[in-house]
Formats: sequence, C-alpha cells, structure tokens
Amino acid sequence: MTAVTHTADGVHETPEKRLGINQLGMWLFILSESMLFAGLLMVRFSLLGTEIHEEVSQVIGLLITVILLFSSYTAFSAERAAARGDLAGAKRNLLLTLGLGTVFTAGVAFEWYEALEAFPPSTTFGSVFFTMTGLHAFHVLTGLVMLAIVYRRVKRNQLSSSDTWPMEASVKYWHFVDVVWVFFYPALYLIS
Amino acid sequence: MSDVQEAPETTETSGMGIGTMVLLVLGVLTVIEYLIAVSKPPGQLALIFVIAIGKAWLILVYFMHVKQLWKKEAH
Repeated sequence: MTAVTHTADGVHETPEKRLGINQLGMWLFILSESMLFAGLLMVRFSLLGTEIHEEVSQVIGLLITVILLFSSYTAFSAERAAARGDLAGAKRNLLLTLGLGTVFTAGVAFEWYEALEAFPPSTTFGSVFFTMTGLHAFHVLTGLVMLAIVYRRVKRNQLSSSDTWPMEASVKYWHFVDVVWVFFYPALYLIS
Repeated sequence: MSDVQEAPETTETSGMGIGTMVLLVLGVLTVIEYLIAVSKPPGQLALIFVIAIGKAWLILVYFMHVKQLWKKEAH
C-alpha cells in the first residue's frame, strides 16, 4: 500500500512522486551550477589560451585530484549502505568522505599559500587560478557542510532506509563538485 | 523465501563492484592524463579533454545515476 500525502493545494502526492520531483529539482540545480563553472572554464581559455604557469604544483594537483575522486567512491558507498539500511556502513563512509574532503581543502589551501608568491592574484594567471580554485573550494566546503548534516542525522538514527533523500541529494552534490574538478584539473594544471 | 532475501544482497554486491571498478578506471585515466601532459604529444589539449569527458561521464552514469531521470519518465 502506498502512502499518499496531500499538498497545500489538495493535490494527492505519493512518496515516489515527491522523490521524482526532488530528483528533477536537484538535476536542474546542478545544470544551472554547471553553467557557472563552464563560464569560468571559457574565461580561462579566453584569457590564457593554452598557457599555464610553470610553477603550479603538479604533485599537489595530482594528489588532491586522486583524493577527490576517492571521496566520490566513499560517498557512493555511503549512499549504497544507507539504501540497504546499513547505518554503520553509511556512517563510516560518510566520515571517510568528510575526512577526504577536508584533506582536499587543506591541499588547495597549501597550494594557495605557495601560489600567492609564485603568481599572485594581480597577474592574469593568478586571477584565473584563484577565482577557479576559490569558487570550487567554496562548493567543496558547502558539500562538506551538507554531508556533515547528513552524518549527524545518521548518527542520531534520524535517517531511515525508506527516506534517503537527504543522503542522495548531498552525495549527488558531492559528485557534481568532483565532476567540476575533472575539468578544472587539466585546465589549471596539465594543459600547456 | 531465502531466494527473495538474497536477491537484493547480490545486486548490492555487484553495485559495490561496479563502484570499485569505476574508481579504478578513474584513477587510471587520471594517470594517463598526467602522462600525456608530461610527454606533451601533438593534440594534447584534445586528448586530455576527451579523457576528462570520459571521466565525467563515468561519474554521471555510475555515481550520480543520471539514467534514473529518463527511466522514471518511461513508467
């Protein structure tokens, strides 16, 4: 038997329908955010062509990329665990994702510390580099806050296997942040 | 009864297997990207971006389940 809820305007709504609407809304949000990052990517190529600064740290770039990719896997595992009702697994993988995300942010902060001397924001490459990594890091921080809220709910047993939308939404957002970095990494570190 | 209970477990295990496989492929593609950047072959820009698109596609399909959008439409 399917539970039916009534919206304010009296329309009958099943949980499946609500979930579908939520998912569509999330994808539209992700699409609109993609425009922002695509614009930044175009600005980067418009201003710099195929040029990158030789002092950009290849080691840090590669390391933080691998860390972010791995965090996507742990986020995926957390979502899977929550869906099958394994709250301990969900908690463990969420914690791992939070840790990896924090390490990524620390890596970016360290890169900024080095970059401030090598190519300050007053230079063309510097302004592009700091804007792109800064906006991305802000999204990483937002994702961390969302994941931390979900972790708190899982820890307090406030998340059931039938209502995993908060988990799904925050994990989707986290994967999106990863997809953005998949394009930013070569644009800022590799192409020359 | 036991068959009914085991089915989701098997699906779950294969889901995790796919996740691990996707992670490995993403790692290998990242290393290839890096090696292309270091060796600087002709058409480096195109090669690197084709790989980046491939990586994004993997994340979208296997981690973000983008296909659920049009699968729901079919019902």
